[in-house]
Amino acid sequence: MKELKVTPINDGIVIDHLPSNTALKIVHILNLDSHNDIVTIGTNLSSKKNERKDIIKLEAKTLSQKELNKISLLAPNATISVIENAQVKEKITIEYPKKVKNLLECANPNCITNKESCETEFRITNKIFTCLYCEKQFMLHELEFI
Amino acid sequence: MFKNIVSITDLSKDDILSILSKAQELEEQGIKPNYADKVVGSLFFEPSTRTRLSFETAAQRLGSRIIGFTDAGSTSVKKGETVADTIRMVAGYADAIVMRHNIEGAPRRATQITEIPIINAGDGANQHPTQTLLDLYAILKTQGSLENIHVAIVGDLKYGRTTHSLAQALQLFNCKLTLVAPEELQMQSHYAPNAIKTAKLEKVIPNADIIYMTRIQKERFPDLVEYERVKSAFLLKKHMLTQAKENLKILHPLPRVDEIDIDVDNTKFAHYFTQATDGVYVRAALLSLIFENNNLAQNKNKKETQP
Repeated sequence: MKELKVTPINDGIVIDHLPSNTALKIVHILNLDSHNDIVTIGTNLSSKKNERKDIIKLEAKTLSQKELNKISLLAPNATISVIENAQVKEKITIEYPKKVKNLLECANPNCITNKESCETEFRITNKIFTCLYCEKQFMLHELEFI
Repeated sequence: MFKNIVSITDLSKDDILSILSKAQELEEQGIKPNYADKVVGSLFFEPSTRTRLSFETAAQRLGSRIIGFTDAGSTSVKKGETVADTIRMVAGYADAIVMRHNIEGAPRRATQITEIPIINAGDGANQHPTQTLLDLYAILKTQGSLENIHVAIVGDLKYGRTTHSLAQALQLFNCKLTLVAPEELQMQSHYAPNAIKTAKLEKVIPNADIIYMTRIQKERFPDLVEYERVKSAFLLKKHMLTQAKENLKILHPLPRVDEIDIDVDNTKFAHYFTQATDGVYVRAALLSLIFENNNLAQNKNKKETQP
């Protein structure tokens, strides 16, 4: 019999197949620790192909496009399911973006986006983030989420 | 055709060639005052002598008028007015804006605020695209082509915005590029992924068609002894040119301090002063192409609104 280590939810979102030990970071970046309903987190769970994975289940939650974009940067292979009445209603496909707007702060203190009110924008090629304005290049770990 | 010139990467190879061709035409036939109905906003938030005077001369020779400022300290910027608001205001008066700013990305931001063309005259350590265009003009004039040229760029390649712009532009032509700098001031690879990097200037001289010298700035080195040691390896002197190719030309964005010795000035290789004065033709070419494009757009609008 299949054993679920993480309790199923009735209505909400399941973010599955997260890389091992990333769930807590994603919870923090998406501010899910202030979510008003049940948040269930599983880390280092066994997965098919003998790999390990993390999972997050969120009761009474929908994900905005901005939140989906953040997940796509942190865990591009994650699977996201919309749950209704304990059944999978819809699967949302995410993919690593080529461009992100108003999602990440530029790490260059002399960039106009850090001096005036101005939405940030990065072009992404081979996981290198180029600021539209100052044209400096960064890796994701050098950038803070907005 | 291009509308703004914020980064050299905004321009295609055809754009660059059309600008240089226009510059050549203006140099041969003279810059005519055909644009008396145009106003150029000259906004130098950061001081400049050479670039500003070059642009203002070009604008005046084209017959256009100039408004603006040479120092943001005399404007509402001192009161905290944003770049966005300053551009909004000037765009109400001018047909094109030339701007220099110490904040990187300010010209890009300006393009989001107004429909009128923005020309970046330098933004922090980022880009200086019109300097690159006049550098390319100098290469074209002295070598006869931009294709298959060996260009050595020397000096502060990490922070030097002119070097970044030039390296990016040369990617469009089939040039061999050698980056000559101390390790701590080498160029980030993304500007020129296929370039050769070295710290040995003397080894590059016999094979180069163009040597583009830039200054290594003292302020980049907390240790002055280290600065003096590093700098001395990247000075160009006349005796180093005995094995140089006949067609070699030495360029520099100026101002020059001591990285090119004055004994080089009178050699056949020195082209840096002519390079600077030719900047007027390149900037006049940019402005006239932008004005022509603007006139075409206005004429099209008039035809469309007529019954």
